[in-house]
Amino acid sequence: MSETTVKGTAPRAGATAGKYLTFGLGDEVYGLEILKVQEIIGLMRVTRVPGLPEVIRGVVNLRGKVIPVVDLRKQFGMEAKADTERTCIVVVRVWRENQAVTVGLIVDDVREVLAIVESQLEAVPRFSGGVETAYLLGMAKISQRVVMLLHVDRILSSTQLGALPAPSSEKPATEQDAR
Amino acid sequence: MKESLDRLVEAFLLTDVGDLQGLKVLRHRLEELLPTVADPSGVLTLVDLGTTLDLLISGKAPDRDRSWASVEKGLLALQDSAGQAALGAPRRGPEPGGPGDPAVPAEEATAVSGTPSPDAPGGPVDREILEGFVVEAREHLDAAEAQLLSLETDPARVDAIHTVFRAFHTIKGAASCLDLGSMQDLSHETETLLDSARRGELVVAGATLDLVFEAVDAMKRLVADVETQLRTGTPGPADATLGSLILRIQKQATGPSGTGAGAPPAPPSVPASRWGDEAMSGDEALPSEVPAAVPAAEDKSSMKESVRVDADRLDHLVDLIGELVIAESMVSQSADLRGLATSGVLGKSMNQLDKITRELQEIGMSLRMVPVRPLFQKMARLSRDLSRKLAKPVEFVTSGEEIEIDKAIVNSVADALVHLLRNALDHGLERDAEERRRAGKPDTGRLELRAVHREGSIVIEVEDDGRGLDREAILAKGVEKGLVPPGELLSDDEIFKLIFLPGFSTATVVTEWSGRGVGLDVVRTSVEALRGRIEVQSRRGQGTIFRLRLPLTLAIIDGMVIRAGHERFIVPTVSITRLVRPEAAERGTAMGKGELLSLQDEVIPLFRLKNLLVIAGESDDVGSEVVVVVEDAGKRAGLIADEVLGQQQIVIKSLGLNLEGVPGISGGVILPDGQVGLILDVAALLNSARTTVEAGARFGGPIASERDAE
Repeated sequence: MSETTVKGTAPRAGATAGKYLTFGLGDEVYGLEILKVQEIIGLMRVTRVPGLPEVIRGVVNLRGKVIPVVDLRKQFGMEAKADTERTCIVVVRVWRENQAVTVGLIVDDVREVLAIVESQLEAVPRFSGGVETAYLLGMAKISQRVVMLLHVDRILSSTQLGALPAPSSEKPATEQDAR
Repeated sequence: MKESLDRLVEAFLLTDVGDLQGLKVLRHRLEELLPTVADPSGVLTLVDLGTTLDLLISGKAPDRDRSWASVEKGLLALQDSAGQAALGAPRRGPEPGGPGDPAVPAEEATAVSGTPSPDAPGGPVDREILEGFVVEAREHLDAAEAQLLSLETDPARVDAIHTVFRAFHTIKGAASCLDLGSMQDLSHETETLLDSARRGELVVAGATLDLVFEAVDAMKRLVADVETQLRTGTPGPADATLGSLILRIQKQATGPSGTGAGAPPAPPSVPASRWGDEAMSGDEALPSEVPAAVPAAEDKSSMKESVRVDADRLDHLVDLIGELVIAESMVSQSADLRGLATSGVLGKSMNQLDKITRELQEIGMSLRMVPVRPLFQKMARLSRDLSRKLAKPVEFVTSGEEIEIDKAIVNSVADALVHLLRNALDHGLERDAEERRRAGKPDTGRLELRAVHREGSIVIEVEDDGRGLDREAILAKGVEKGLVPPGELLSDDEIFKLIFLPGFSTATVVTEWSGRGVGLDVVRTSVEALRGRIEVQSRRGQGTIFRLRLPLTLAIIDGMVIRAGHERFIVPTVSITRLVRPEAAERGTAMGKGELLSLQDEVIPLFRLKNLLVIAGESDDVGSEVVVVVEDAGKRAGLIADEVLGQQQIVIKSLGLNLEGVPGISGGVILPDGQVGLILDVAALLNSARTTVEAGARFGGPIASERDAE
């Protein structure tokens, strides 16, 4: 499954047309390339692991396999919100340091699968206020709505998870350090 | 020739290994082809094919699938050498996998269709075949080595000779197909030598046996070369000793039997005579093979069919089985079914389901288990070589070879065993026969390697009947090193334990003891890394036993499930010394902070798991707290938990990503209710606790504040 979409950490002009799974975080709508999505599961009790960056809420049991789950709100620096009935975990399979890893992303709610065509795609503008545009592949405008298309490999790459304490490292890097 | 070969290949493709008539047709086509082949290697291959086919026809082939595969390889070689690469292979390519024989490995099927493109050597197909060849050749060589070792004690074992012969024969076939010249030469000569042994013209013992051992070693090196070349793309340096080895084998093969009738002449003419002997006169020539073709019962067990499976897939299967067990118990214990399940069909079905799931779980666990036999064989070989080198005759006995152990453990325990065996041979046994005789022992030393099941773990023992450990020398050394206070009275056990301490180098110790114990701390460390233990037992003048106690598998541990706050953790049972619910009087503090507990004989520091791991949750009543007394590197400490939930066998899971790097946590566990629990790494936990008084600061400050906020 090493499609070209999975690789390519070099900055791209923008996202490509195709199917995207959309989900909400607060009032914002985000899209994930459907090829990266493995499944969607309801929120279950997450086991916290001491010493991990804050963005990783913990680990869950995905049919016998233990996978880490990332709190996307924390990842994007949005304010925390209590979990609801609609909160769920989108399980994605991404490439990290040349290895396919399975990770869960906690999102407020899952919307739908959109087929996004070329004409709807737009480049990522420059935001004010230190918005991390590297996480974005591009944006799509669908009848007044803006969907932010996520560069999921980057979310889970060096910026955050790469800063995990190495077995020998004396000081576990906190999330703040990592930024 | 092209036509005959065409027809031969066609006959092959139409034939199944079990089809006697087809085999005979094939045999006939082979004979047709023989006169048309000019080059000697082609003749050679044909002869081999004939031999194999004869065995198949007579039903005496010990391993039909393998023989059949070698027939195919031979045919491929013929096609190649005849420069007939384009011989309609595309048309036939897909067939072997179909009507042909299911046992023909896929890679060989591709090879057929791959032959028409001789312009692209070293392509992916070649690579795959070579990789397969390396694995297969190693297996054959290991099997051969094992049989050679058995020949040492009983040179008359024809079945053993036959196995060794077959190994070289198969390698030769594959090597010729893959154009591996030196391998082909070596295997051919060794095969010739073994062939005379098969005919009873030569006894495989003494120098001949050594020679065959050497051939196996040389072949292993050649196989390793192929592997290196596959990996790096550059061939290794040529083996300079190979030529002389081949010459010696040739001499050995022709020498003693040169005068005998029907002796195998020099290689080039071998084909003709063999062809004449076995093929033409058919059954008459075969009697010499009869005993060989009937493998001994134990041989059969080692030929059990096996499938190579990707380790990831296996893990996935085991994961799913674990989930099935959880799901099953959730269903059977669900409130909805209570009452219903006690009687009638549902109850029976639930029982059945339960049984099946347990069985599945057992099988799942056993999938990664392998017998220790190959490991023991390696050790047998090692001790044989060492005993020669040290000129100490030794009888090497093994038992419990059939006992199975996790493959990962086998690989890591091998080094420890090598170390112990070397020690036993070099220093454990008396210097020479003279010294043994004085001690009233037989000249030949005795080394025993045993595996036994004991209390859910595997015990591997290395025993020698040598001098035994020198108590006084060890004690003196211990005192000198400052490990033991002078004048201290120690039991034998306590003294012997000293030899496992790091830095207990005995280089300067009295000669009799010298060397013993060097590196034993390394052995101990490697055994402990496997969550095992090492013990020693010794009697002066009678011998020493080193005992390795190993877990059956690395995937499962015994653990104590404990609760701290809202979280559950698992403490590996091996690191727990005891559980106590302390009385208030036994507890105290140091400098107002550090909690202490006085046990009968010592005072140990206490650490609150809740602080160490920054766990939220109101504190339970102090009185209900439980202290888990753990030991690491000889130092004890107590971990304060809120509750002990019980002990259970636990399947260790990776946490994904590189979350294993989290200090204090060594992995994850799926608890019976399907949730994830964390396994505590006691050593790391205590280390960090000791170095930081306010341990809470150590573990993810932000999380603490987040949790507090909640």
